[in-house]
Amino acid sequence: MITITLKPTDVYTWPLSIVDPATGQTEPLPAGEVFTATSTSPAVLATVNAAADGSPELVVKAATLPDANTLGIKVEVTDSTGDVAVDLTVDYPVPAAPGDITLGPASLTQQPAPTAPGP
Amino acid sequence: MSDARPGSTVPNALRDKSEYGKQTHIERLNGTGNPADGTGTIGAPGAPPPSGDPDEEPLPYHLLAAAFHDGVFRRAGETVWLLLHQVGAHHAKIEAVIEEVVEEVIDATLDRPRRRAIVLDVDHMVVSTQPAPRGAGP
Repeated sequence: MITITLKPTDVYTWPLSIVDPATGQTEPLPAGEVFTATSTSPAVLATVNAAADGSPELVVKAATLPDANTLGIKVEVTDSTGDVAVDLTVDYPVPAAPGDITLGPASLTQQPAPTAPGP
Repeated sequence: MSDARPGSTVPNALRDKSEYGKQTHIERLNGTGNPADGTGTIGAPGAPPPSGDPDEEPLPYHLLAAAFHDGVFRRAGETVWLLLHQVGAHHAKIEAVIEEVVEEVIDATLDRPRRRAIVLDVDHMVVSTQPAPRGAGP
């Protein structure tokens, strides 16, 4: 399961392909095969576009700014031949605004162990 | 004279001496392969003798007619488990039917087109940028 954390300015793109689970080999796409992408949140837009070489690719990006932290958005890709769908999880948190308190990158240091027992 | 039946109150000298008249009620029932003595099938015509094999496993049979099985009345169509020497003319082996169904399921599975899977090529994932959208979500 793929999980991404989406920012409003991010555009994620993945090439799509069809695999035979028995062999693990990529198979050619049947003529006329149509992929469909759906998102469980209107704030996240999922579409299947044609790449420059004509192959299908999944594009996931923000459609609107989030009004609250939205976690666990499900994006699913299906096709017209009924192959096993693929899905991914998108977390779309509210981005920090100027003036917000944020935590910087964590770092680890050590201190002597405390000696006094607890209350 | 000839309508005398065993059990009727007629002198033995007047009883029918035919083969039918010499059998008791239970003996006649046992001769049909559907005995009334609660043992199921003992005495069924053509039944093989007990094998005596202590490892013999009972097999499932359909009852073609109502019968006593282990002393319990069972209706026609019910399934009973019998050793070979207990099988009678009113039992139909159901093993062949089970094999046929299993073969049909296997054939249907083999004939079914396998399902392929859609995959995302994560090795070629691209992250680009766009102008931030304006409106907040609904």
